[in-house]
Amino acid sequence: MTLAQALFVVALAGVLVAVVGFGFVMVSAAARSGGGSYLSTGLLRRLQRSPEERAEFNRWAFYAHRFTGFAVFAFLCLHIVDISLYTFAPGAFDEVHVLYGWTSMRIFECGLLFAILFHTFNGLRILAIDFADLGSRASRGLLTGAVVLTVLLGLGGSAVIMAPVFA
Amino acid sequence: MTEPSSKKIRVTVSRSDPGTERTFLVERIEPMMVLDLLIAIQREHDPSIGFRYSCRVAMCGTCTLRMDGRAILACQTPLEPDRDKVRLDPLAGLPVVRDLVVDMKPFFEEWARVKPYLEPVEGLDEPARIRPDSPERQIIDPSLDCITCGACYSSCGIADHKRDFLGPAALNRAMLLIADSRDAAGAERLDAVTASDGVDRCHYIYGCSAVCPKGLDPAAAIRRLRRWRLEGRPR
Repeated sequence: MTLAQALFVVALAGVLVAVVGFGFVMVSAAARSGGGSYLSTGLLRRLQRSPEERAEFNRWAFYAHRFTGFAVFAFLCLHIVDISLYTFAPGAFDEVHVLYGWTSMRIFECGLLFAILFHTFNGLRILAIDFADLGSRASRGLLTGAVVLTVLLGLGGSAVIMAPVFA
Repeated sequence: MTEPSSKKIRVTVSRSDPGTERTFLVERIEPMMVLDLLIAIQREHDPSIGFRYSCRVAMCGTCTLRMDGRAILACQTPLEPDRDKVRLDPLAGLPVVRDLVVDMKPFFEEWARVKPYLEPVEGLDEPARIRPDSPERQIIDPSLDCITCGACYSSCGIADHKRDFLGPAALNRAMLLIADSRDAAGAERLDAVTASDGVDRCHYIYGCSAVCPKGLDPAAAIRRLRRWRLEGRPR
């Protein structure tokens, strides 16, 4: 491994630690003052029973939106740096971009793809709530659509990303 | 008519010291409200437990607390017959005074910021009426009846006494007063609710609308306020 590659791996590990840390802080704050239903065995029964309880899906979408937003932003910061290597150190750029072909990096890219897709579709859903004046029920319908699109496109994209590994 | 039952329910209650809680095994009656449960605990298990209630008919908004995380009015929330355990916590986002009692001051400070009372337009014929079938009344009526219980504030996810956000109850109140043609302070209120700590901080979690014990829809009020900011308030 070259120095440029080692530095990239360290920086990427830093990004992952920051993302996990952000998730931990977010979940702690939500548990303290989020005011949502607790995740317990009884929750599934309550979700089936009451449409008011199912409004909780909007809350979880909010947390997922924040988490994916931070994850995409954190990686983007690193990505801007590794792309900009091309302008002053093309050799280092080539070395670093070899890493993107590693299996572990491809798995990370699949996760990133899911995060980008969810953040995008959920963001559009929030815009649609304002533009179309949607209530809780309709927004949950849109959320279902956002999740389905995320899963379908994410799986399709992941297949493309992982294809060279299995070739 | 309540009937004693041989069944017991396991009740976990948050106590004031952070991280502490106590569990009680309480005999069930049918039907049983959450408030009945708390009164049974206080009378038969631990007289020191702190909670608040007053009217028992969903008018005062005093007994609001969280059951399994979700804000409820204790006096109006029945325990399902098949439930064998429940967890009770104070409202989220507000400082705890003792056990299940919270300090509502931050909630009412936000409430006061939208000037939650009518400032009459001068020169109106008395009594000034809004016709029941008028579009104005259609906006106002579904947003009346807030009992300032704080359930929406607790369920918001954004509102918290450590953050700046007017909160769902204050925004709902502001919306109905802005819609009221007899009110003279609408423009001032619209400025307040569209400031940086106003409607834009809402992320449509819909917790407020889901838990309101009076069936109000503060999220709809917030969407309407956002629209009025662009289109101007109705007159």
